[in-house]
Amino acid sequence: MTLECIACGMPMETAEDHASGDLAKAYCRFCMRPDGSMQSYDEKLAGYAGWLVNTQGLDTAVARDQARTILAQFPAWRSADG
Amino acid sequence: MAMPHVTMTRTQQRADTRQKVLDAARRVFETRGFAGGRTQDVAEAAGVSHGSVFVHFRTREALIAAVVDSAILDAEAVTRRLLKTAGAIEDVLQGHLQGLAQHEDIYARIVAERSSLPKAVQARITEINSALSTHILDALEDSGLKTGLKVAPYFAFNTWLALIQYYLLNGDLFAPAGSVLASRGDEIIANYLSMIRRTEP
Repeated sequence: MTLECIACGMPMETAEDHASGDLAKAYCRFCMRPDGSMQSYDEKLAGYAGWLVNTQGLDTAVARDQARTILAQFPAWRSADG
Repeated sequence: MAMPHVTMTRTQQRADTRQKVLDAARRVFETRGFAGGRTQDVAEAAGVSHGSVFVHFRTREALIAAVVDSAILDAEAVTRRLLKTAGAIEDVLQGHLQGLAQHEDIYARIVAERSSLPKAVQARITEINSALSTHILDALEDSGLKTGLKVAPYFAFNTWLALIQYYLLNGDLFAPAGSVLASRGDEIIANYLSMIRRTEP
């Protein structure tokens, strides 16, 4: 059975999808800090907005706004949408 | 002993009706657009009561979100799978087009009306496009083409997406009788790769 990241909901199909490649970690490699712990909301928001900018060249304010909307749908942050 | 069977049947019926409403919504939005398609039209097309639509989709926005997801998620899934199994950029681009093949009409509507769709749906489209971009840029890297790019990586993706969307939005000019991606897809891929591979002496 494919697990989903508890922070962003991404399907984790293989061990390398998990943080640090560790199957015991319930969050994915995109939701971890360099030290292997799980990112905070603000870190995730900044990272996500940066991903939208890097992959599509979006305006930074638009990217941040859309990232906030996207994160509000994620399992860990469903109540965080201000 | 009969109870589990009855429960299963009801669950199945509920899923079937939900799918019927979703399919009908897609047809309505394809022909009338997201702005013009009413939930009453969806109910009539599905052969259910107006209230039944809202049993399965709490709001009109939820119905639009489900239709958009049904149209855009296949392309992301096929592209992601091919990146892992094949890896060659040609295969991944082909996979993107394959994933769109069953959704051309509704996808063209999504592209045309994106900026007036509900905010959460717009963000969802942005999210999936970034996932597609990530897969395609990974494939470019695997194929040894990313470091030779003369443009920013995001621009290489945007150019690819722009080509697809241009041909879909103007399908009547390129494939008046059928699928524009089926008839022109290979040409789009070959020419896109020629542009990407172009290097200055």
